Amino acid sequence: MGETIKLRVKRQDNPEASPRWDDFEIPYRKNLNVIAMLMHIQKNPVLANGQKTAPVVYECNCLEEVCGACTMIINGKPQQACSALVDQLQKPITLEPLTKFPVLRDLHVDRNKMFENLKKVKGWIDIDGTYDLGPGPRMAPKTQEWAYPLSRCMTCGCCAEACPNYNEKSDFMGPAAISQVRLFNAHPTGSMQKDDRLDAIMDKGGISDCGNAQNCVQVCPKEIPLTTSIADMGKDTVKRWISRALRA
Amino acid sequence: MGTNNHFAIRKVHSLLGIIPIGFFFLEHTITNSMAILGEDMWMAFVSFLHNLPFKIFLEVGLIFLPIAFHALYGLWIVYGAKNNTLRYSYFKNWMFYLQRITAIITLVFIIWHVWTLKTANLYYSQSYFQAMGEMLSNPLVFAAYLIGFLAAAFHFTNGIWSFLVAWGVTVGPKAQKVSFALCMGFFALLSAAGIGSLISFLQ
Ligand code: HEM
Ligand code: SF4
Repeated sequence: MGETIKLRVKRQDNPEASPRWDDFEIPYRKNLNVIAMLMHIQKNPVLANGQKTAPVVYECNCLEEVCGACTMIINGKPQQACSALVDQLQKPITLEPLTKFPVLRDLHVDRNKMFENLKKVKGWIDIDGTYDLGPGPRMAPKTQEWAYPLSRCMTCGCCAEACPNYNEKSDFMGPAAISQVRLFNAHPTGSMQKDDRLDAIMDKGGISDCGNAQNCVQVCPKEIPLTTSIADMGKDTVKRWISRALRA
Repeated sequence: MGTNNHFAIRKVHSLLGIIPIGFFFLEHTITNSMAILGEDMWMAFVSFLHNLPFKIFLEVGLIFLPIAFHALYGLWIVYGAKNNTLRYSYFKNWMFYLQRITAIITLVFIIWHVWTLKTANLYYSQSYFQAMGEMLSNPLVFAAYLIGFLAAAFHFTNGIWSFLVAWGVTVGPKAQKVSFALCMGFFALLSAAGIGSLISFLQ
């Protein structure tokens, strides 16, 4: 066998089990990524010491860093396993499940809270219901271009993982949902629900729970200007707060 | 919505840090920096404040209650964070952590500072200025004042930076960078005034 890569994986067999570390040695090939290493273990579930083991459980989907499913902690930082290239990583490589979400098994976590928060803030554009609502207003190309970076969010959870205020002690929804409010409020059709979204992020766990540690913008794999989104929504929520109070 | 006052409470906490607590801290620092200009100047400022009408209402309404609310709710905020500067050692994350560390130091300092001075009641001693000097000549007391003041000054000035973000004044990264530089300039200025006055009491 030629060159091998040492891989350490933090595993647990079920949500209640206590975690353990398993060592693997994976044959090196050019352009190897972390997902390919996990696929190798799937085919050949053997520990570095030769002992057989259960294959490491993980999630993946698109394999091109747009779905967010394979998000895990690689060498201490949250990122997608599919775009984590072995050549660029320090060895031995360590893999851990995200810590801010319940672990189901091994590297597979339940990111449901991310999606629940998107629902809370109405992270969508309303379309026709039971009948045709007719064509909506058009979006200026300039606004489209401005909005595109925000639309690249894949709800991966890296920003929440790195945020000190996103944890089991707090209801904070995290940066992603707040940034999505900025995206959908900027859309000419989406802006029809503008106030509903602002009200949602002014509720418990909303924008005012942000303490400006700004880790989110550092770790977001899509380089979304999260802190700009948060400050921008900070301004809109303050305006909404005052207007709500004066019209009450 | 409107079923809870979460947003309002957080905004009030944030605003109280500036008005009136921040303004009081600024006034307090300016007053004491008069010690740099000598005993008479300092005593003139202190006497003016001491003889303000309705002083007890001003103290309770503009100083004690705002600080009590900001500090108590602030402790809840401190508790709510899981600091992770070792894993994510980015500069702003350290500032976030320092904001919380200095909050605790400031709280402990304020309680001790107010308690000891109120019970000692030095205003009616022979020379208030010299009595302060005697107290500060104890190196432990001096160190406590130095640390307590610097913590409060950092918490206040870094808090202004954070306030400007939270209220949507400084939105983009560049604006936030510039405002941080200005806030830290203000921190340096306040520190000079505070340390200067502490040394001046020693004669
Ligand atoms: C000397 C008196 C104090 C002053 C002048 C002061 C000032 C400030 C200011 C201006 C802010 C920024 C608000 C914002 O981010 O929107 C702030 C935030 C904060 N203060 Fe204070 N503070 C004082 C005492 C305290 C004490 C005694 C505590 C708690 C023990 C405390 C805890 C906090 C916390 C946790 C924050 C962060 C809030 C957040 O980022 O959401 N402060 N303070
Ligand atoms: S904002 Fe970035 S880090 Fe956060 S969920 Fe979206 S893509 Fe992931």
